[in-house]
Amino acid sequence: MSFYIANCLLEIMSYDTVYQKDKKDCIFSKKIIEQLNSLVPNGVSDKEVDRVAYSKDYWPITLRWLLDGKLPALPDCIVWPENAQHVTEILRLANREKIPIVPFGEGSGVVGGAIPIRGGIVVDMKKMDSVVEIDDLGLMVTAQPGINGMNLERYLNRKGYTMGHIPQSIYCSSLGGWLACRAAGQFSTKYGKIEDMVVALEAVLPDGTIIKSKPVPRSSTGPQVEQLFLGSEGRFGIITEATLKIWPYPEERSMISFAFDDVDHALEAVRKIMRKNVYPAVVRIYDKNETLRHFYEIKGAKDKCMLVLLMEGDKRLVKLENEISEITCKGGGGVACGDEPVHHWLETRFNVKESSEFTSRGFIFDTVEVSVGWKNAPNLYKTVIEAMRKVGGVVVASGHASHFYPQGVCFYFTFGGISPKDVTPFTFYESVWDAIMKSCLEEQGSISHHHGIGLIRAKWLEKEIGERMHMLKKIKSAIDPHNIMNPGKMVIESEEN
Amino acid sequence: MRVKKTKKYAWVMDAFSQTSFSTKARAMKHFLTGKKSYLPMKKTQADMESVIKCALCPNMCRFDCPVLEAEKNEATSPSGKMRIAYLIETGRLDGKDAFELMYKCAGCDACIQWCPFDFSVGDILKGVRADIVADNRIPEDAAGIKEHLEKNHTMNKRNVDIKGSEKGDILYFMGCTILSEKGEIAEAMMGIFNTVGEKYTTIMDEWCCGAPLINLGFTKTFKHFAEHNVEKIKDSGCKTVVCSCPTCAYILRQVYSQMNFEIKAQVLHSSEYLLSLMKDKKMRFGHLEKECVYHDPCTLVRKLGIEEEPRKVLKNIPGMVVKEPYFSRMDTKCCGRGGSLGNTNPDIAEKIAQKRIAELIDEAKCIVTACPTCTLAFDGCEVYDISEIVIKSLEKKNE
Repeated sequence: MSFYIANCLLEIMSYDTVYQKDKKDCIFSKKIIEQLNSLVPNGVSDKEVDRVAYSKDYWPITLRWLLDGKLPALPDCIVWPENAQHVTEILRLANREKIPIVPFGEGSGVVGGAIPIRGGIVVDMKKMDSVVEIDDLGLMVTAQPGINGMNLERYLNRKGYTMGHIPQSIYCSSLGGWLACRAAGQFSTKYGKIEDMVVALEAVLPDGTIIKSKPVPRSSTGPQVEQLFLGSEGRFGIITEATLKIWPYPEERSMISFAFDDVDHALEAVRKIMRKNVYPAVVRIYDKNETLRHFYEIKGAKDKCMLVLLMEGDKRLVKLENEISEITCKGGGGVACGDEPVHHWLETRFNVKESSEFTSRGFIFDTVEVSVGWKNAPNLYKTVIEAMRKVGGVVVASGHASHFYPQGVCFYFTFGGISPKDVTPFTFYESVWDAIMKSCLEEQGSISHHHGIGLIRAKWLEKEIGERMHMLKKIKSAIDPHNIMNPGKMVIESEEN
Repeated sequence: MRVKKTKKYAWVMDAFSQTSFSTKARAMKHFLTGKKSYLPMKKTQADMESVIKCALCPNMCRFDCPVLEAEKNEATSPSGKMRIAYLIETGRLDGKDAFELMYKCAGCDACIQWCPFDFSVGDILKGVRADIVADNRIPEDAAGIKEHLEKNHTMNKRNVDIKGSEKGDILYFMGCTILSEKGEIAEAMMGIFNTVGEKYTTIMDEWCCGAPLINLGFTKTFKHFAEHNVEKIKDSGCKTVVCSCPTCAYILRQVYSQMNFEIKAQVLHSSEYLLSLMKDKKMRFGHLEKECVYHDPCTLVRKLGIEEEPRKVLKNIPGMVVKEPYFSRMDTKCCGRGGSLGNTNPDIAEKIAQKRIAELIDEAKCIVTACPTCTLAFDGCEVYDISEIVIKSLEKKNE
């Protein structure tokens, strides 16, 4: 473990500072605020209430901070740019003055990526939330990054299109956030992940330079450097516009489900469906505990693993996909459960209640998503579940698979529990995370499928990407020599920074 | 019911069955007592359990919140407000900006339909504001509204001087917006009463229904207003109270009774009343060539559940073409003036109104709604209350 990583960990672990009223006054230079005000008139705030509001994202640790009255990561001010030029001016100033910059969409990230742990300027992109253009001929939409996901999808639906990117956070996340963490939606098996949808990007580098790629289907013009921004978690600059693929709104939807004896059999059925080049939009396999949790009212689901499939698109294609999937599932030992489980999933898929219900009761819940090739998939599932269960205090350890590829699968694990006596909640929480990350790496998985690195995964990144870390650090220090962009996340600073 | 609940939590029981005794014991202890450690020491009027749940939510309703849409500030998001509310209630945060934030809500209830707990952020905030009142930390604007109402009894200067008979089966409760600025709606309603031969009365010293008071946390003063209005309604001997304002109808019909101020008469919103006249064949509509878009007022559709009544009336008028905006019925968008936002934060209200106007006039130039406050918010457009359309059509018949 490098010195820097150890330091960063220490920094995270030491977030026990209780918010002190006598220390709440903004110590940020008034001169900087004045300069920002002149760059972005009516778009700057250093009010205490705003700084508190921007001191979090949806990392479960920040929820506990709130209840414990801890506000350890206050930004110094918030700025709301209205165009790319504003962003350029803000970054130039920050670069000159070496002030940390934290780009902010809607703060729905779950790994601590948007928490301003070093203070500085939060750049909230919400005022850049327009749909710039729909290109019907080329099936593309160009939009600004601050647009809310649901508002973008609603806009497209109204015009007769869909982007097919429907993450569980669609109500509370932004386009910029999706791009910055390489997001995946519930319908991703058909429509792809956010990086599959991006056609072109405009972004501002830390020195204020605006870069822009062309909205063309493909180029053989060297490495597409703008793609560094996908998954950059705000470390390379700020995305100011994106052009993405869209599709005509599907004319037909078909829903089927099957109960399998175990996860392995369900995985095998889906692998065979994928192998036939059939891509249902939604594919979800729930293990026995999650089947009991979500489908307790479904006949035939008891002590089984539920597979739900949703196909959509052209009527004839949907019919065919339905037929192939059905034959494959039945052939693999699946018992048909009709469309009710799929309807149930559709109706309840945005009911995010666990944190609200259990955090104040001292319970700690979190979800961890990883990806793995088919060869190691069954083992990884079993190893991770076992590893979670072994951590003292864990009550719930379950999983489902929710994004599929001909090459492999994404597992989405849930753990919940209570810290044992004499163990702090954070230590308990981190122990479960460590157990999952370690098992995942042992089973040749990737430590994140779509939530990103942020703070909680930072110490595992080097183990995940190996020598590529060195390259990433070189790129980072070349683009952002003063390390102003979202410092402390992903831990790709050079050690001297 | 119990069986269903047992099944619902079977997964938790299943998970618990696989844990050690010490984990079970510790979990049970936390489950039963954990919450208390996060509640404020003092007794609050705010429902703290709801405040906490909402504060811990990822903000699933934020995309439909008109205030956030106008302000673009995380603090004004529904969950953002609840986080600050929690810090205020637990004594960790104070200051003018924090208190003022608690009033930045249109009370439109768009949040309810996306909330897994069916929370109304506007309703939760009423309790938080009541605590702010109890602590005497009331923002200037809110305090001014209370003082004004205590002195004048209506939100603005009374400009309408319409009265019916001394007694009547119908009592027309005008509401502050009509009394001060939208007299034309009262005239339309009077015209309808007269055309159908209904004997109606009004309250000469009608007071505000109290909505701004309860919204802003002045529960005690609200009760005083409720007492006055209930007494006057009783004195009138009416069988039915008709309100053009959905908020008045909601307050009179539901909130008064929740606070033990019973109105024996039936309380109807004007759209319900007009539909009943239509069903009883008391209205004969004339041809009215008009294309309009119907805007659902938030309180009418979300608090009173009235969607169909105004549409049925409008669609029955010969020559009338009623268009639907993309966001209609339960998905409607706020006009900006709900929850007293027009008084406490007029700039935000105006931004919200402009956005809604743009959505509406995308469908038709003429806007029809069923709320005087919405018509006020859409001032400058061709906008009518449903009663104004109805009286136009009735007059056409009599031409």
